[in-house]
Amino acid sequence: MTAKSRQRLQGLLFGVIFGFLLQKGGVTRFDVIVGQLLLEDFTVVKIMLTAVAVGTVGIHLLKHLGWASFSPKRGSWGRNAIGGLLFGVGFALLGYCPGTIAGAIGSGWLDALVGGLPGILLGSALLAAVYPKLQARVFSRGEFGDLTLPRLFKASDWLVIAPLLAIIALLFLLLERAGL
Amino acid sequence: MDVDHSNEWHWFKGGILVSLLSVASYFVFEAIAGRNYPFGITAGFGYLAGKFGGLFKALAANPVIQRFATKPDAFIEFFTVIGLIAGGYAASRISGTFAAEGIPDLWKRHHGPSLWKRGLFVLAGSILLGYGAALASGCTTGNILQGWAHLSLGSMVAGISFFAAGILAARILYPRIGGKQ
Repeated sequence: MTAKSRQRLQGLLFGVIFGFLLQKGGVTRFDVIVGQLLLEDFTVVKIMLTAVAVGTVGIHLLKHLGWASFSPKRGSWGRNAIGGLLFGVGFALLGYCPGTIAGAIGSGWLDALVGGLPGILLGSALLAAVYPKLQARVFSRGEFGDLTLPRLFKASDWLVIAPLLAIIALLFLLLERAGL
Repeated sequence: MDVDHSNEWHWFKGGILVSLLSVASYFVFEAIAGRNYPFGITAGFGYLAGKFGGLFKALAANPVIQRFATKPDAFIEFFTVIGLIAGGYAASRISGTFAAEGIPDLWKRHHGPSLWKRGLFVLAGSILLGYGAALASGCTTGNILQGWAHLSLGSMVAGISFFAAGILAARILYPRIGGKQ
């Protein structure tokens, strides 16, 4: 099997499993996602933070055991804050994000298929078109490269992970108390 | 409003299974591409946009379009997007919830049953979503599920911005009606 066809199979396999999990988790539904943004239904945050907590411990264990290495994404205030805020507005208008919209298309949502798919492609192409013009003036403002929290605070990975897990646990406790 | 979750798993089960899939990608993808990187979505849409962009003369020489079309993980992520559609289909078939629907209930309550109005907002929303995800180098999957687990500063900024803007925009788009959402 060639590398290309192995990659194709791998991508497909992870997609099928992820799509299945997202749909069974309930987060491919507009009502659930917008319910989260309205702070009425916390399914999205609960699934997300459970996965982040376990994932953070898991991949840092792998890293310390020497079984995996990963490279954090590079970022800047200009790209991540502007891109993030525009994404957020789109998130609320559309009621899906790029992963959940694909799962929503599979479960029969025509709004996701007819308007969402072409829109995302158009948005990506639009960014490509303006990128060379805005790169120097806007997007590269406040570059922080692949900086991570442990390097920012000059602390070991676990010294950052421990309070992070505590914050997530506290949040779950508060949600439980509030009956959400 | 109360959302019916009777056809779905408990969030803890969903969260644990998603995290296992995420950690597994560091093993599985290494064997393929010779380096560890997690699964993602955004580059897959970029790949498709790059393939279309390549058809238009004005965009064909664009460096971002070329990068979209040639990144090794973009090729993988394109197939992840195809897989997501199939996975969503399989899960909804098994749950017996598959149905061709156009307008979500919560949208209808606030903005009525017009397909044109929903279509226009969907198009505007997804253009912003595609633009923002490509600019922030990742969506909820790449920047939160993976990026927060990497403890990456850029992903923290992106993920917090997703929700800050999303929460604010949702308050304006779907205001309370008579004390109920």
